[in-house]
Amino acid sequence: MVDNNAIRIKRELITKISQLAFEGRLVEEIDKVPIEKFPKGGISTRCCVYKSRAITKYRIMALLGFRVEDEEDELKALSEYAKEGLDRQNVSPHVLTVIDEACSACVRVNYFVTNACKGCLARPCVINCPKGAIEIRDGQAHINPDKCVNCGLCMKVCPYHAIIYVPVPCEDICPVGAISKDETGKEHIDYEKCIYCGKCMVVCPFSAIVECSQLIDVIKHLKSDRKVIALFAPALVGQFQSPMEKIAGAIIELGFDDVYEVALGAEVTAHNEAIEFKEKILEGENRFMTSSCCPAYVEMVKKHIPELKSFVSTTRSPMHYTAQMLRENFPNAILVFISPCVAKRNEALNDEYVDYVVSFEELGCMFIAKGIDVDSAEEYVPKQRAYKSGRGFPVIGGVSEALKYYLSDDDKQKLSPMTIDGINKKSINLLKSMVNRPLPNVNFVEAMACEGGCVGGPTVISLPKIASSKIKRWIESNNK
Amino acid sequence: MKKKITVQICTGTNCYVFGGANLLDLEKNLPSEVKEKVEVKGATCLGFCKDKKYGKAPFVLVEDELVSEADVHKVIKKVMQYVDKVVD
Ligand code: FES
Repeated sequence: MVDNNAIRIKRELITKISQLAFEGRLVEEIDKVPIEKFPKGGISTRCCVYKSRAITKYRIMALLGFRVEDEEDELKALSEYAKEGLDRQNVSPHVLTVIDEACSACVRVNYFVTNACKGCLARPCVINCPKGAIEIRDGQAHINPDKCVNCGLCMKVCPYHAIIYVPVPCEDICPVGAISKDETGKEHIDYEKCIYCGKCMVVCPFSAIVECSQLIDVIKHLKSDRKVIALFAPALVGQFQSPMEKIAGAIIELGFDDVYEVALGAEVTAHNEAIEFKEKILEGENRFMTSSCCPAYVEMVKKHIPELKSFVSTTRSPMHYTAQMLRENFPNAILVFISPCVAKRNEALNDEYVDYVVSFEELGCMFIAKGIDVDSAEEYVPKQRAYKSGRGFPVIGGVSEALKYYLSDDDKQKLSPMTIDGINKKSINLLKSMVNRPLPNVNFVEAMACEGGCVGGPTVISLPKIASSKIKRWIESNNK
Repeated sequence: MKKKITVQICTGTNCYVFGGANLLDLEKNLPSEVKEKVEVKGATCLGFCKDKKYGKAPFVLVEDELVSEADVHKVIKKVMQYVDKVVD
């Protein structure tokens, strides 16, 4: 969703890079892009155009698939990165990168003394600070950032409420504490903890956290003779106002040789999950089972609640089954997954069948780069039609619904699902507690890292509500 | 007879990706006394994205006035200019 300027700038760049890649002018033109975006005397979004250009360069680096952290030579031109990117045979193994140049505006210390401070006689802040980090200067309290440990006592004791908490958005939203500042004040992601939910990327007001894209690799293959197949997550149907067949047609116009619904694989997932549910819950000992299709959730369990792992369904994801089916039929084709999120990028890197991932917003920008208007595209009907059950996966509650299709009437009655509608600190605690104290009336947990389901993913175009209702209409019109 | 102010939000691909998508809940943000005087419609590509002289997407037409780089605030401001003119 474009609800701020940072996203607009990001999408303008994705469009520009796609355009250059499609036209085969990437290496020749790319060094000019930061300057064209921020010409001398133009408007800068930062202190000066030079800083804006430097940051733009790093944004492009990430779009070419490189990590900003890996930069060794500051003088290395974007054209050299572009050349390397176009020559590489393997996909870039990275998922996220932090543009340190862009990340610096946030506070180092979360507590801030406002002008409401009277420099009072009592000075409870000074007296209660365990680190002696506060002194009174010019009649007001000052926090020494070198000493402050962010305990927040000063805020609690101030009788004037003059000290406020200033969050660092990425740290604040990260559900697993995977992002924090280093000595220089720049954020670093700890990949031992990161679950690739993408929430930091969305929330950063400076758009300093970005994906390492596979855009130019995909466009390179689209222009080659190799067969390239797009497999789209069902949430895609909610990303444009046009019917699914038009969206599929627009994908074909981009140069893809064929388009398949990942909803096909979702049916396999639901089918397997239903069998497992019957075995483990209805006939077995386990009190409950959780879904496994959301990769950020699965990663969260693996890294943060390992004791919950035996409750997670062992069924593979819809993307995996769809890619497997396609790989069997088209052993030499390039399989590109069209994705709502960051976590799928990570899942695909570790999947034996998926070759590349393109995000929803990247797909939208690719359309624009090629001058394709989805609504004017020629309709394309994917050869294999998915059923209702698989198409409902991207909207919260859809997985539990799908399960019902594959359970007998009797067993259906025994299914009592609940949803984890978004992974956050609170829902993680709830899941943790369920290991030892399962909830009395729950035997299936549908867990989604994003609120609302995949329609709320970090790279979506539509408002989640609008996407959900579009998907529901699509499912209803397909009476199978 | 009341004549309503028409607001056309372009949902062509260019506009939609650059923020037209976020304007679709515009009605929710209109002041309640204004809501009934306004008709909000989605539109297919209005053609403005084809020529740089019109500015940047997303585009919205309030009656026949063009709003470029439209956001909720800009569109409401434009709508308000018309509200007074609507004949009751
Ligand atoms: S897409 Fe809005 S004017 Fe073309």
